[in-house]
Amino acid sequence: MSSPAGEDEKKPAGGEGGGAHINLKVKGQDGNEVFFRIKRSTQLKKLMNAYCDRQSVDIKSIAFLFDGRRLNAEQTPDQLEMEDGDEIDAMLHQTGGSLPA
Amino acid sequence: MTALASPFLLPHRRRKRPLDDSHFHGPQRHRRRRLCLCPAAFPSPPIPPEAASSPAFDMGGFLSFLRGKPRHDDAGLGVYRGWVDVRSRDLSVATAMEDDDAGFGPRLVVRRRVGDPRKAALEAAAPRPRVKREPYYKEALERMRSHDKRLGELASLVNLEEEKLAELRKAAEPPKEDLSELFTPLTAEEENEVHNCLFGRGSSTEILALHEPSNIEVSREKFRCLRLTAWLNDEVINLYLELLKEREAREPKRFLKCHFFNTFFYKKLACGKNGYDYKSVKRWTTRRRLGYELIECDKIFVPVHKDVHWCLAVINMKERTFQYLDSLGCVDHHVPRVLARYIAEEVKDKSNKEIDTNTWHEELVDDIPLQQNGWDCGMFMLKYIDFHSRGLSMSFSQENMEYFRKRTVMEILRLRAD
Repeated sequence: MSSPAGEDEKKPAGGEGGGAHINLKVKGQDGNEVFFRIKRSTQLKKLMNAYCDRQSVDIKSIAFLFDGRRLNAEQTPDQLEMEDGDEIDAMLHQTGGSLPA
Repeated sequence: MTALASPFLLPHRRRKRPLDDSHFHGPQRHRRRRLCLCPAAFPSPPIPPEAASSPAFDMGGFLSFLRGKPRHDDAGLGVYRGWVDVRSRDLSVATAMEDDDAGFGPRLVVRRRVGDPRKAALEAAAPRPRVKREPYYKEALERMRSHDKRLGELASLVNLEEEKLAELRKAAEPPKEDLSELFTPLTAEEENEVHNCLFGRGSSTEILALHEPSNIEVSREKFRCLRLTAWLNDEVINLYLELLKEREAREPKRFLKCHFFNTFFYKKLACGKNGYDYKSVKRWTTRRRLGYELIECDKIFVPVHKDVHWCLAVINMKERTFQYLDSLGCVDHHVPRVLARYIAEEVKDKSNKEIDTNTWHEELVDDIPLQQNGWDCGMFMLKYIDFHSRGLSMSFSQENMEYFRKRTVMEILRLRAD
């Protein structure tokens, strides 16, 4: 559950190597957390796809938010000034019209 | 001749005095003085040597006449007494004449009696016009005054009416202008554009609207939720809320200063073990991110999604009130409590200020327009926010929803809300 996914570990022993990577936590609506380790320059598309594959949900059914803002699949952690350990919210899309008759 | 003349003059004076006295006080005083002078003149007549008793008799009558006035002030009595005096004098004169020439005496007496009544009648009639005239002037004055009062009343009435008209005009104009903006019909071109968006051919995944600041994309498929009987999705709602914020930034004088949370905020805030988790939304509202702090807002809008139903919660900072609006008319006391806890914690964290939400009011609004079908709660929620952000009352109803859906399509396609 807490094992990293979607990204192979490289140079685990190197401290400097860690600088190029960032640890991110994706939190679902149910409270479950999935941890990812990606390069700061990698597009978040990779993380999103990995999360949906792991959760077995369609990527179109999830809205990813960072500090309340929607994420663009082509954005990178660097562009968003993410820091190590930051949290991304995975929210199910919502729809509504009325209570069932 | 002299003897005849003197008694003729005296009766005139005596008859005039009572009338004058009853009407004028000033002249009365003067004539009283004259009365005092009369006795002095009286002793001078030449007749006394011939008839010693006659002058004494005349003196007595004159004195009794004077005494009578102050007691009764009766004009009629005065006239009568004067007449009596005249008679007595006539008789004495007749006696004297008979001694000399009896034929002339009776004739003279008859003439005097006839003349006196006429003069008395004239004198009695004279004062009457005066009496009438004075009341007439008073009545005229009173009439004028009454007219003045009526004019004053009319003037005040006119002023009141004018003020009412002014108020009506003031009250009528602004709402009409604002409401006309809210219900501006779509042009034929716009109708066509909306129709193509909702029903036109094209790939369902085609992105028809991309709002870069918020990274929200709306595909043709997503737009279809704005068809007449479809349920609204969060993409359309959240993008529209972004447009409302931009509208306010564009025209801060026309719209209240508001914060529009997206549809995911309340879900995050109310999640967790205890149903409340401030930490998970703490970083959503930093000044660096927003450009302002929530404490600076007039109203904060919180969309609330309940499985298949959209509702709205309003943190009314200006009126220190929590408002909950549900287009189905349902009530929820839990949402306001969660938001009360949140806003206190948020203001403390970001603005380092204390607000006591225990003194705030909770308003479960029950006089709002309600949906009459099973698909319009999302649109109702958006219009609650739209009207509230303008400071207007909820002047819309179910029958406006078809128009609002089309208008929302237009505004999202143009990425501009009006």
